[in-house]
Amino acid sequence: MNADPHLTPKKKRMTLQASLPLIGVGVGILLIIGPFLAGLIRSLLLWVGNDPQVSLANYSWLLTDTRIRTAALNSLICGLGAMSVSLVLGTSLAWIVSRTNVPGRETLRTLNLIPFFFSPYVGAIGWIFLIAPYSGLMQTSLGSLLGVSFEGPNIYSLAGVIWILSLFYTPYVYLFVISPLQRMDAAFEDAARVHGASFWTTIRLVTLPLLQPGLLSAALIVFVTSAGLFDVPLALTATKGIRTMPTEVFALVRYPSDLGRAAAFGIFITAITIVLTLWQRAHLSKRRYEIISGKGYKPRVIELRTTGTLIALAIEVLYLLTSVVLPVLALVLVALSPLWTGRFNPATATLANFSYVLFDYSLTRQAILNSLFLAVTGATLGVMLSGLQSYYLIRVRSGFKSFIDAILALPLGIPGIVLSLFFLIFAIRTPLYGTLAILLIAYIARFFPFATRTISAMLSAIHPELEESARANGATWAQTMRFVLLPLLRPALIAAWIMLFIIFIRELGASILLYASGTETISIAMLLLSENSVGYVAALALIQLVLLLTGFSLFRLTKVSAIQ
Amino acid sequence: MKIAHFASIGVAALVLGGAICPAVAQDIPAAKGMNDIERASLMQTIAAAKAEGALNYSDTIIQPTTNDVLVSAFRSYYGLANTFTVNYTLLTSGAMITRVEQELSANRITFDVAAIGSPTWTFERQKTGAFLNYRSGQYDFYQDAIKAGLGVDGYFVLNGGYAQIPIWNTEIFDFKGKSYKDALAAVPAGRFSIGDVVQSESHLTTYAGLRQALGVDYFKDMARKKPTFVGRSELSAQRILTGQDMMAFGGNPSRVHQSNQKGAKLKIFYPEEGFTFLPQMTFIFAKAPHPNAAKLWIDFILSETGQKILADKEALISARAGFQSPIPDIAPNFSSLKIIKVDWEKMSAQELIKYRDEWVSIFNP
Amino acid sequence: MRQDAPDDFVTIRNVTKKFGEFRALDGLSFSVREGGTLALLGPSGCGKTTMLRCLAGLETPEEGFISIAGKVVFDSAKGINLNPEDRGLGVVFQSYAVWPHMSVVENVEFPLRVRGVAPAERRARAMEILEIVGLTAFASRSATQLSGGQQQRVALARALVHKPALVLFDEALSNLDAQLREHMRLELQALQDRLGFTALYVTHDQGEALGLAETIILMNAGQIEASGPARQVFMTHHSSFAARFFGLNVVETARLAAPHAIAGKPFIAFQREYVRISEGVTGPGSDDLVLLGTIATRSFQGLADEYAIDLGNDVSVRVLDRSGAFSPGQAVSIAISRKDLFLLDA
Repeated sequence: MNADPHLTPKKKRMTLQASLPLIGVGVGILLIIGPFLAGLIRSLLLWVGNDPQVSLANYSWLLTDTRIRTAALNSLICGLGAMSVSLVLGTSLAWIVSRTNVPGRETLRTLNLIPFFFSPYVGAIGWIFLIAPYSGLMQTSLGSLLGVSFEGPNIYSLAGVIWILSLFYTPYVYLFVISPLQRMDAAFEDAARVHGASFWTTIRLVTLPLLQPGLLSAALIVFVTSAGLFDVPLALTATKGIRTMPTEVFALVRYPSDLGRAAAFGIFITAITIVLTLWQRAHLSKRRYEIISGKGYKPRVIELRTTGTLIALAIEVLYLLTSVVLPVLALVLVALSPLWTGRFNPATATLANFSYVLFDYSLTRQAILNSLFLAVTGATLGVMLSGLQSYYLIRVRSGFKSFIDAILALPLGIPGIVLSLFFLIFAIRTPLYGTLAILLIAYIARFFPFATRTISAMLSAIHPELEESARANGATWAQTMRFVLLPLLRPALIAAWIMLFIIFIRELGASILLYASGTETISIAMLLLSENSVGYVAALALIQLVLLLTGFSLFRLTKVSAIQ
Repeated sequence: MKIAHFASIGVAALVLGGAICPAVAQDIPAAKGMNDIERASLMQTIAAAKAEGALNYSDTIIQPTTNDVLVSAFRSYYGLANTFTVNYTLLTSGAMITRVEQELSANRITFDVAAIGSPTWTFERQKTGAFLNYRSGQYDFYQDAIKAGLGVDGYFVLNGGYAQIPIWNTEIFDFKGKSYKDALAAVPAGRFSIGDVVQSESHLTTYAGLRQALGVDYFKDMARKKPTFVGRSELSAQRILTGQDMMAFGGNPSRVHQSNQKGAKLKIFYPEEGFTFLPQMTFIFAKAPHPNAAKLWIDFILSETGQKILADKEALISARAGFQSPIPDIAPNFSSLKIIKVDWEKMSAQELIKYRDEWVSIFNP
Repeated sequence: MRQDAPDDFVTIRNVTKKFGEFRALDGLSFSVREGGTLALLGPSGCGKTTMLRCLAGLETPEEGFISIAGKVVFDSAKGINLNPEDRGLGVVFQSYAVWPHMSVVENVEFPLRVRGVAPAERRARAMEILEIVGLTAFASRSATQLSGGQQQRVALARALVHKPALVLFDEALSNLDAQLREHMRLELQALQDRLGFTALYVTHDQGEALGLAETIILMNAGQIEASGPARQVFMTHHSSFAARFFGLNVVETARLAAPHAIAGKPFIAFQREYVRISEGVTGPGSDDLVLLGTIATRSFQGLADEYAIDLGNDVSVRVLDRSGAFSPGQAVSIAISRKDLFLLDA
């Protein structure tokens, strides 16, 4: 019997399969290399009168200026501090909810993730209202109780920055270690115990070393993100003249500005990032081991006694209070007050701040629309781009893959303000300057690696035969994508989309140098409103939180881990 | 294309209408006391502004609520419909200069009009041709101010001025002094803020003036008492309101005025040694996207009507000849003030950078 | 099956596929007649799956020529390389590759859907084929709710629904348990009789190959080691590789204490079943090869015992015996009839 002659499949262009993923990779590389080159060229130019000259003056300034050295040292302290605290806190929280029988651990597992979706900048503002010297809610309420006025801890310090960063980056560590903790073969730990190791010795010599790849990745990402974050130091330490690398970049761009020096500084920061990323890759590729045997063992769950349960619950409750409940409560009280004086007066409570921000002030309305537009469009384009890149990285045979993978992961470590500085230099003489498009491009360039990682992880778990069987059964590449791969990838695509949406809604560092009148975002509006009334700022911050929490709830529905 | 075509027909019709029916024009407050030639020219500008449809302006002081009042007064001053939009951006002086400098070098000016508390920059930019030459009829009332070095006839002049001077919360801090010296002596260490010269162009300008009257040692003493550096006037007022600080040396009269209207009891004083007067220089950009709307705005903001709103809502000190302040406690009449003399036109950006570096070396070594 | 059909319904000529320096396929040539069944047999890494993937268009060989049903699908000389979807095949994958996001019937009608068949018709044809494989009741189930055997049938139905001329099976029965496999084997034969497609199986399991295919190609390192009708390939051995693969004892002649009459050939091979053990040293039968050795281990296999017998000089052979009379450490002699002995050159 012969095949039905009329059933021969339709011919399609065969170039699509080869070209589309390459386009995704090419665009991704352009988004990184383009602005980087613009920054590099600008950093090597020095204007003498009207003539630019090639010079290393900006770099020699960089190496000799003591202020830069102080800023770099402070950022290093912030990075290391936040990294250490969140490693301890994140691992403890993950261990508590995955390896003990603490009551309510299913719920806690989800609650621990909420700070991941919060904006650290909003958290910092909330904490200022909570414990600003003499005038925070803690000082005023305790003070009126005891009849004294006292200063309290100093939030306007590097310690304050580390505290805020740790609260909001703890979930990064948590996400990196909870999955290996949940799936780790209990036999590894059992073997240590039966051969004579105590509980703590087992943790130290077996459990933690087995978690090392996850811990290392988490440590690096928390370190570079903390050291490069612009908004928290802006809110906390700028008033005390404490410099950090990102705030110093910001200061260099402001009038009387020196883009050359700023660019040199940005290139320097990028170089550090590249070195760190390469080191991590080399280190991880050396020691890769399987901690999941695949035999379906369940990890050992520790039966906590009363003291243990109380301690575990106390850690959980304290973390959720300090990261979510207290700062949000402070924001609510401030947002409800017509004039914030450090004390909440229920008698004068009003929704005026909300109605002003939502209905009366055109800038915030525009900013909310802009942020929604940027988040929706940016997440959509970003997921498309990342999907193509993931396809290239997982499915296409190529000798350059690990190199390309390393390049495409670079933006993870480049501070938003540095990338937007490069984009500013890149775009300032083009029609892109001052448009939403340049913000959109910068957002995507800075954050697409998050989406690429999520999608790649799921794609590598999908058996290639599922696509091959479609091809062999007569589907073109495009049909295979449409009917087989995209539906299978859908959870990861949605998860990546929501993650980008959330990041874009709260983004400040990449926006601050690129916005223009009419292209303000929510976070920019918050900054502008702080010249106006803290009540407005608090109201807008809460509106932003509602958007972020909506994203978070949707994210939980996809059941895909945020970090792979 | 089509829309522009219809718009120009509309403009022509309006111009004709304006010329033929002077009765319509008489309804517009702006045309009060004008002769026929002036009125015709005004109506032509209004028609062109209507065709432009919008105005973008930026200011470093005016609160959005004040802007709402200004915009509705502006519309009724010229008989503009609500469809005429006024886009307002509130920026700090430094942020505005940074933005404007970037827009100038990108050759993409998005603002029509700006008002900024950085006279040095304004004089420099006027010389490079960044501003439109438009000699508003209102300039007649600002000749004294121009003579005092607070404007260039036909290019820019102040729409008001203010000072960054000590403020305190009378509910928390009992202060009766009269001078900068008294204030520094009275305030407890670590419990006061000063303007952040690095973050804020207007605080730098203030420092450049004060530095001449008070001397370096005064600031060295100040540094020893561990101040907090605040760039935003709202934040310094907020810290006074909550009791975080006892005094803000870089306080802003309009914040005092606005907070007190909401029930606070803040106080301000103009020190005996004198103070740096910060003129809010206002001008039209040479490449403004809506030049006709911009001209209307300048006419309006410098008028008695505009000045009254700015004084009433923002506590700005008017330099308009014969203007009487509605709130003399907070914004005294211009003629009664002891202002430190600074020649802004001669002071260069390079000199300002020197003052900034000096400030940094004193407060933040 | 049409025995008179032309012998070159599927033609593979000189196909070479390299992965880096490794030659997965090394100038492979063979053909399959229309309606025939052929099994590519060999250990893992021998290139059989690569051959299947080259046929399906999932891999591109460096060199060679492939035609299916008179259509050239690959020709390195002429630069022809058809996309997988343009080769008109049915493929049953080792993992079954049943799409988890589609129901059973959606999986099965997929080949018709991408060929633009109207929904009503394709549903009818999918149901028809589901009935043949006995899955009508599961049509609307999600594919993930099925057992391994049921998923296998879905994959089979999907590979057959568009009536392809050639169906490829990649280790199609390997994931099933012994009983199910036998059942499926019979069913496949019945299906092929009924639908008349040409089948190419890839397997590492000799039982599967022997049961399914009329022709067998034994592959080794990307080349054909032996080929021919199934019985012939199984019964006659020309190389030590083939003999070992089919489970025979292979002994290097040079290592034997008494070379006897087998001198001149480097290897001998014989089945475990065709060996007689006797106690001590007994005289040989007229035509037998007799070797002396010691019982090393004994393991009970149900119907018989399997002995590992140490012949000295590091030579050990496995022998089946039903008597149960011998125990480890005992000195024995073993005898193999000449007719059961393969003399091998390599």
